[in-house]
Amino acid sequence: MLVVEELTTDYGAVRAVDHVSLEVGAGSITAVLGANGAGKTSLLRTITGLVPATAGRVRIDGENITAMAVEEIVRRGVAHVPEGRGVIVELTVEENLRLGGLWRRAEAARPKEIYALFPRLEERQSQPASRLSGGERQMLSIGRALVARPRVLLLDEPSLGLAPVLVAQIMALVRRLADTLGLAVLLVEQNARSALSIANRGIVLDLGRVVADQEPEALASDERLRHAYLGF
Amino acid sequence: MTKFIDLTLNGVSTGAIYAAVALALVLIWRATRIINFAQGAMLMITTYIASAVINSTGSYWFGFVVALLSGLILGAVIERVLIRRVESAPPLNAVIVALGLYTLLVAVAGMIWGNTPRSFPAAFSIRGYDIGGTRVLFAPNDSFIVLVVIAVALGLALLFRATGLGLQMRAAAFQPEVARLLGVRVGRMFTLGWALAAMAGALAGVLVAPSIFLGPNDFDPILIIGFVAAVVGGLDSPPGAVIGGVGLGLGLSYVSGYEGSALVPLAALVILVFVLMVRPSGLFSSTQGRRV
Repeated sequence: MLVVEELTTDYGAVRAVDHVSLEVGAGSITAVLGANGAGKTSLLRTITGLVPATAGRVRIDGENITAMAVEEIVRRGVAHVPEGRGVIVELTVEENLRLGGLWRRAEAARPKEIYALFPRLEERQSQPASRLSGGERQMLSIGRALVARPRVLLLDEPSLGLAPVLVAQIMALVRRLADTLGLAVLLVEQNARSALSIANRGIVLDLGRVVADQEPEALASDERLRHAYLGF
Repeated sequence: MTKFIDLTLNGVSTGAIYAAVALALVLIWRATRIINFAQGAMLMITTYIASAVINSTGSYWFGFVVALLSGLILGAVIERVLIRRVESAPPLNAVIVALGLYTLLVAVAGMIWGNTPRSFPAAFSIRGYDIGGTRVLFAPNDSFIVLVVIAVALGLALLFRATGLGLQMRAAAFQPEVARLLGVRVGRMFTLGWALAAMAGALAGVLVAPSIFLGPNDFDPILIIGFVAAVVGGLDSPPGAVIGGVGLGLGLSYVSGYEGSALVPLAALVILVFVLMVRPSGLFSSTQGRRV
């Protein structure tokens, strides 16, 4: 589904992503772990075209999307839930949801289908998104990404700033989405333990380079990796 | 009392024109966070085009429609060709580009149509209505001005509030990057914002032209008052622009009627300073002031 080959991103003289390769299949979750500044967010931003790649390729179902504009990549079925959630606080909950599916016209999911996943959002549908709590904002931004019925879901730190019980709920939901919708999920997380609990594959980045690419169990039991990069 | 009624009616009519100018500025500010200092020159050009069309075809309405369409096109072209290059640059770059464009358009208008002001026809009679034997300072043409500005304001409100296109334009204005991630073609939304703004400006141009003379620099006072109206209304709120425009029209009409028209520019600036002192973000702005 999503194939990243030798992807490299430079910010001026600083190399943020350094020859990263990975694959995510349909219905599978790949966790991208690593400390602050390891290049996790830059990796996602390069995949969706928000920053240009210096070298390497990104392919969706074989189609090369590397040099495409963000709007075109989105139209290939990639949904990116950005760090800090990207809820547009000036719009209402329902407007945020509708916005996610406008380019899909009649094929977009109805807000009702999203409310079935997140009943909390339905109660607040006509309120401005600025009134939502952190957890509700995370639900809204994931729900909004699903409206366009994507095939690839890029999640940037969905656990950021959430209470542990909410983190567990969000992680369980992501697992369920991958299983039921066949989504290919690339999950960027600092909270390595909860990300690995739902992932099929774990990748550890350090200074933009892949330093480990293993089964979640193998990563979690590797004492050296855990201490050096994962903090648990 | 009659004088008060006259001044009020006159204020509503000129206020509607200020509202249209303020809308033009607000739409561009919302879309691209640029104060369009070239707006006065843009609506001057479209009014000249309307004047040329009216003179050669003899049809006011044909000229009216051509003015609006040429505004639409002029706005879109200026955004695509000039503004697109400075949108992500520091704000000062856009200001300089807009000022340069203003100078260019004024010079071009002078070269094509000359610098001698000419008159511009009104759509309807400018003889005031006769009410109970007294003639009021409000003519059929003023009714037209007020109605057409109301129609444009309602049309814009409907576009922004009730359509998917309007939702995408708002999203692109508030958070361009998030909007792109949701598949919104942000560049097109910016172009459309400029096009609609220039159309509102073109409308203001043909509406105000009968009561002033049409010359390369004759729209500057209208633009300054329209700018004050936009700032008073909060700069990013279309309803605020309309209320600010009409409010300013009324206020300046009273000042002009009771104290003399020489005080009008001064009064506009006093109102601006006063509103900014009491509510620095304008009366209807939803955005929070920056805390330093």
